[in-house]
Amino acid sequence: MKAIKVQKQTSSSIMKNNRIMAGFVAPTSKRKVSLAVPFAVGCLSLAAFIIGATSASGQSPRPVDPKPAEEPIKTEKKEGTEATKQPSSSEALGKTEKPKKEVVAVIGGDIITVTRERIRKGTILIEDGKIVGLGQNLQIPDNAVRIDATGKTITPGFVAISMTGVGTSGGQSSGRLSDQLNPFDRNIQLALGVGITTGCLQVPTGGGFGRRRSSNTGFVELDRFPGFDPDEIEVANWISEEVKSFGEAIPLCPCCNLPIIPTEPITPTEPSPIVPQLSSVIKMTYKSLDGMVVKEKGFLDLTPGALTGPANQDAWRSQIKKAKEYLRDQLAHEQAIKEGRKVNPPRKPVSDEVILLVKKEIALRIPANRVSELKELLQLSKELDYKLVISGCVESWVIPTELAESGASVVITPRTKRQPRFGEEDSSGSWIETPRVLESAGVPFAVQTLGTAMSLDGLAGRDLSSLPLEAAFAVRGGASEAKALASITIVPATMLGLQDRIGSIEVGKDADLLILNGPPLDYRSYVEKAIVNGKLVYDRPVDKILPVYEKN
Amino acid sequence: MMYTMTFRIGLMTPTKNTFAAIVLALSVVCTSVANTRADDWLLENVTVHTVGKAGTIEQSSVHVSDGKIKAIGKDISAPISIKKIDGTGKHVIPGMVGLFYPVATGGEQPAGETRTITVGGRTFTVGGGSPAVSTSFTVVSENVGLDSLDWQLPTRVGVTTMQLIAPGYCQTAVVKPGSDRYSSQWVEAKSQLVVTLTNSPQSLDLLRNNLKDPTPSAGGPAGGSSRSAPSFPQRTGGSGRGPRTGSSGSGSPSGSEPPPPPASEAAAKPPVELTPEQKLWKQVRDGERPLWLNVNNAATILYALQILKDYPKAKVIWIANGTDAYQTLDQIPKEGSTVVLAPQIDIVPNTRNRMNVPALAVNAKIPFAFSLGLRNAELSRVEAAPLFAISIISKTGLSKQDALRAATLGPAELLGLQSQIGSLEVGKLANMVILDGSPFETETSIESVYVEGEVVYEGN
Repeated sequence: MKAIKVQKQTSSSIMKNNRIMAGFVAPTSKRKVSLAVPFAVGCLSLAAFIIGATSASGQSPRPVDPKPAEEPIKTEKKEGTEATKQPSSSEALGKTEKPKKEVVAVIGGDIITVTRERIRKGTILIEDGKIVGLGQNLQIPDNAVRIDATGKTITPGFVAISMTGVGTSGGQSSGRLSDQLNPFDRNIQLALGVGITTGCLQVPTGGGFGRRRSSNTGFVELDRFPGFDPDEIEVANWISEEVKSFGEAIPLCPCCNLPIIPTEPITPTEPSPIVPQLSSVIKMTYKSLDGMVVKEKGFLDLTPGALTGPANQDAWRSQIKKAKEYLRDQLAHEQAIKEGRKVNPPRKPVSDEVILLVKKEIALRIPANRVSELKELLQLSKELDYKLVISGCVESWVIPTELAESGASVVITPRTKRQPRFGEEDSSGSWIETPRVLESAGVPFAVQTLGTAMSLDGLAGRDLSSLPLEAAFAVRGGASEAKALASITIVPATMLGLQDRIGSIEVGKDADLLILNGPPLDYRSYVEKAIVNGKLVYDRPVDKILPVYEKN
Repeated sequence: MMYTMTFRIGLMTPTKNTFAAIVLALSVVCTSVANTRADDWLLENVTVHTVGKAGTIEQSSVHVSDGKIKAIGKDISAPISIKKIDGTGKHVIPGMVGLFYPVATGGEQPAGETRTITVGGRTFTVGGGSPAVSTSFTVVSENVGLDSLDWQLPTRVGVTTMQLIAPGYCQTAVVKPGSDRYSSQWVEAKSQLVVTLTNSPQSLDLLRNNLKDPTPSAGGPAGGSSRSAPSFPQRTGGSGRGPRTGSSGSGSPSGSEPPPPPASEAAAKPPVELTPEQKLWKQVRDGERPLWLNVNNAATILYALQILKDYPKAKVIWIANGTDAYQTLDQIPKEGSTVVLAPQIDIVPNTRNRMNVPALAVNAKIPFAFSLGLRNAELSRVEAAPLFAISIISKTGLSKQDALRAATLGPAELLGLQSQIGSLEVGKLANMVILDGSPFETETSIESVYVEGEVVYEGN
């Protein structure tokens, strides 16, 4: 009895013990696991970090982010006398025995030249940053670096006619743009990723040559005209960035601060002070300053309304007149110097931009949308004789013949949507078919994006990275594909006076090429490689800006 | 409990520090070190990282006499009565040389994107990000009092020589810290020429204008490489000097300017006297003196390289952060340039990948040195301590020799002081850091720091 009891007790105690044991073991093991997991992860991550760092530092000088500018991928050297050398890096390029210039051959692509006929399976020879050969059966030099573009489409690099915040260090500063560039800017890579190789960069300036005043009174001070008194610079940045970009004050979304795209009818532009905006043409020479500045002054840019109203127009006329007189005086002065007479050189009465405009080295660019304003600008340019580029131009479809006759060019954004004014339903507001109308009338048009900066790393949809897509919408509006492509290549190049250097693939022009894996205006196409000044500056699988997978 | 009590005693009676130390009885070394004021002493059984030709010597002795290293090696003869310090299990490295020790001088108006650092409990703002970089010339030793700064922090992390750099455009000073702030001394009151550079017209013009030869016809040796300046004939010498010296501010007394001689006497006239500042730039042009450029970003490096193309003799020392150096490593010429980097792991731009830029510089065969305290000058943090950084950086790709050299002998060479400091060799100053373990291990801590044979810091 006792024994049994004891037995029972012991068994129960054993049971209890067991239970306790079981109850004890399980949590510990759990705890162990829960402790061990982060520890292991930590170890792994630390190990991975160290291994990564070691391999990054130990094996190759540039481990993770190979430099596309240096190392053209898929480049093969022709096997021949120098076949023993493996041209794995740019070093091999430099080591060619003959003191020949670096020759690059882009082989096998379908070349859309823009200005000439399309070349199927053609070859482009590049020497010293320029195109030296173009055609189907070209002799490729032995020392050429070959870039295989078989099955790909080759187009000239796109030209962004208005661009902000790309290639500079950011922030507002004054002075020469050529000293403020940043070739390592991430936005350069993003721009190259969508095919932009040249852009007309709006230079961020701390102010202009204007005076703060109330614009709603229409009062415009006349003697504060561009460059009149450069010593007395006053900040006149009361014109918001939105006004500069869109030509009118555009409300910003309170939550995301992105511009709310207006659709209401276009209102008349108030006369505004004449504040010249500086713009320079730069190339996307990623990681290099050489050849980055193409043209220090791209346009004489004026804000919307700067030529509105009789006061402004009078001031403008007198500016142009003075510039013309100055040029005449200068000629006379040169003549006098030649003849050996001592004459003081004429005093420069206006800013450099105005003189360049009169010389027709740059064009005047000004935003305007309403028919009446367009007509005014055309009239002025006809009277004063300068190159005119009107941006915006929403209602240009109303007066295509007049535009064509005047010789002005326009910059449009095909996706603009503006309601017609009441009572003028047939002759106001936007029209999707504007590109077709302009094309058939023979008005050269360029395409610009709604936003001119790279926003959200190109994710915002209507920023600078949508340039080819915006051009595609010109096709949707009835323009031919050729004209649509021209609107982001040769037409903006011509507006900038750079038609001899960029904008098309021709012998003698700069080697700014895109190798695309599909038609250039297809939104599914990717830029595979971008070549600027003969150098490979973007390679999609290497730079990994845009998805790297192959489409079927 | 015991510790806190004694600590409190130590605080209450600061004059009885030695007493408190004895009470603590932490280690034999500590007490003996505290008493070491003698001129002659011997460190025994220690692992010496000489950084010099002898490499690392285990179980070695170092004989310090009169502030200098008299003998070093395994079997060295020393007087029997000499004070001996047992270094069993310990390591000794040369005192480290801090190349970038930013100080703020009077009247500094930092603006924009500047780096704020804390040194010795004070906050300093270092220029570099602002486009409006100050273009006035500062001689650091004339603007910073030796006793106005506290050297405790650098000495306690093992830095025994420091180059003081002012923001903007300055001539640096090299200082040797003492055991307290009143015993520190200038090693070189007027040392290196440093320009903080950004990619802005104003900043780049400072470099362009100063590099230009102000005396194109008189300067024989300098004129060779620099571009000819036809716009400055002798006749207009007086006015032509205006923009140059104008940017120099205090450096050029306008009264000393010699009267412009008539053009006919050009051959006989004495050469135009250069201001001290212009002399520095002449030495830079001739390659006799390196130019230190504290560059703001990678683009600035490219701009500076573009400007320096015209001056092939000029030697440049780039103070750059790791990312900027990484982006331009392939463009920085291998000859005539040295990169001064922070001893840290950097992130490859636009990625999450990490990289060891010093190791990349070694691969690219570009000389480099560490700037101890370029970023993390608040040396109070463990991760910011140079030794910790060196151990990390030597575990992630950089060789141990390179890592230690870049903190000691490398910077000493850049300052031109390699005959005195930077390595543990006979005849050099006894600037040493005694460690309780290998300098390449993160858990190693500093036991004591010596400047010219005298202790300036002891750990507990």
